[in-house]
Amino acid sequence: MSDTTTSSRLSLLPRLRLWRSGLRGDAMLFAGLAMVGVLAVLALTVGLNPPREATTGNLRMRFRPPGTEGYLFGTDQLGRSVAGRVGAGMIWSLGIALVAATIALSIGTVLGLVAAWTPGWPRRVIRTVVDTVIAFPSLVIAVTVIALLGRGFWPLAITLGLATWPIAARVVYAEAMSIARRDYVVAAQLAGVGPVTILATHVLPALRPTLMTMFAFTFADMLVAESALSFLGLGVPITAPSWGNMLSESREYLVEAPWLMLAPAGAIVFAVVALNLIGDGIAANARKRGRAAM
Amino acid sequence: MTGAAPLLEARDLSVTFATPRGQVHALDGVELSVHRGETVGLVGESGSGKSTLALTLLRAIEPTGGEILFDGQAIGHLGSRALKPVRRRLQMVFQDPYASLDPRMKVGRIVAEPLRAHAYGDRARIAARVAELLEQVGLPADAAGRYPAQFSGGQRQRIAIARAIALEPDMVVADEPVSALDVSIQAQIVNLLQDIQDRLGIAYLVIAHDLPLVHQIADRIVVLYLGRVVEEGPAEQVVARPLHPYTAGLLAATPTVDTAGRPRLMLKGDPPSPINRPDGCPFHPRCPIARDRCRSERPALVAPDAGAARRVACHFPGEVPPPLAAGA
Repeated sequence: MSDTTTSSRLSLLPRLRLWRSGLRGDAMLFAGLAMVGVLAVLALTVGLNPPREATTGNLRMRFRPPGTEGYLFGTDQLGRSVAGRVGAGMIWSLGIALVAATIALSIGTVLGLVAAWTPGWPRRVIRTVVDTVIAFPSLVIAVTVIALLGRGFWPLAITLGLATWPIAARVVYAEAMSIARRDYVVAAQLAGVGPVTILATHVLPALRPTLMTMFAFTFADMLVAESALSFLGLGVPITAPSWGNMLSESREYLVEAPWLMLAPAGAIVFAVVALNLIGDGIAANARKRGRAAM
Repeated sequence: MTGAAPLLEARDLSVTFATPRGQVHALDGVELSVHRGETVGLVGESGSGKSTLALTLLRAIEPTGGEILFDGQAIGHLGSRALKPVRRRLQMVFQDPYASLDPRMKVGRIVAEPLRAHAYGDRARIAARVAELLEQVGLPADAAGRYPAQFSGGQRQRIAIARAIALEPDMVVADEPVSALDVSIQAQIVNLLQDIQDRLGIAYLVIAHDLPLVHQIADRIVVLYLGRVVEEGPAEQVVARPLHPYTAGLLAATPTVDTAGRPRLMLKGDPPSPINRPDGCPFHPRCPIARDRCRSERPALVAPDAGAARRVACHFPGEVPPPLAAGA
């Protein structure tokens, strides 16, 4: 599977190519899973129950630098805890990315498989829709859908999912077409196995590493895209402490309080690296297994 | 041959692929018949259309012209539902046993695949049949619980054969069944195929580029060149006295012990592209006995003598080995 195809058009960061660094697949997978584990624990504790300092400002405590007593990453222009806000933003940023990646991959997988498995008009229709959606600049899609649905968690998640599924559909379609030509799939057809059974028993298992890899990369891309859209003011409500919103607000205080930018940016980088490690780890292991089977 | 109707018959079978560079005539009016219990060997160089023919006969590739008859029934254009009872009786063994077995599936499930597809019976009955089949192809009973990666190439081909004979088909098409295997293993697989034929009376269409192998197992030989049958006949006769210069070239190209007296007729060059096929006889650019007539007129596949069991597509059949071919 090509690395570029899964990279979202919304993503501002180039895809990290950590597998080239020579790390073994299992090591990358372990590191990535450990980092995601840390994020998950934080999201379920701090994220779901943000400390009071994250939402309630204290104007006597504005712009305190990181390390100030009780404020790990300092405070912002309203005297709120930056660490607390990064924690509270996990629900927005990670949650939106998770939902968006799930939407994109679900639609993309179903339509990609249908297109691969049904030559004739279903394939033509799906390919035309995919090409059409990809032809639209994603910002145009995002602005339109958000104008219709309003800002918020679900509108943004759905927008990102709808803008990204055609890429997943293309990857799944191409991969399924190549699997369909494999001898063991032809052998199953010649044995009289029906197309749905072949899909379930041969094609989906062969697609699994691709789907898992693509999920990790899409998740990372969605995370960056959420931040990008929020930064542009097209994302979550202005008051929501999403990482993109925090970055956006930090611009004004970049010189006097750089930690306002560094904390959410660091969180984004941490999550993106974790997800890329997982994706590359799965891909490297799948390649290794593929070679061993030959 | 016997007077009975053939089990499988291809009539004027053609397959054309559209490519950016033009139409590829992979098969061009192929005539072929396989009778019950018979082994037919199909030989030809790479690119001659052997594998395309196999996949077309099994309806994995759609024919663009002609007809395929299986036990008298036209199957060339049947839908997948109507084709299913035919699939039960017509199975295939692939060339590469590393590609034809799903690496993520246990051997027991692979062999059970045709059984399940054709509602052979309940779980216990299928398991019993799988065990029986694995034993028949000479694999240990515990093979069912293991993955293909745990077996050697020869063992994998045994698994593929077990899958092909699971439903006791009338015919098995074997596409180069041993060419991917070590030479030491090849004979074992050939013997296994012959044992199975003796026991079940299965007809084989064995595809190979290796004439000695085909000679060993086939009753009849069909020679394919550029998607056309150029010669067919009883194996003994074809090998002893090839009528088509291409067949003679294939024979001369295979090293044998008794080469005494056999002229070294080398096949020169590669087959022409099936996109730009030569006019006249498709073989004439490489043929040592080609004359003007061969460049303009395409020879039909006909019996050289009335009543002969052989057919050849050559204007000058039997004029091989030619005197001029020996030296060079």
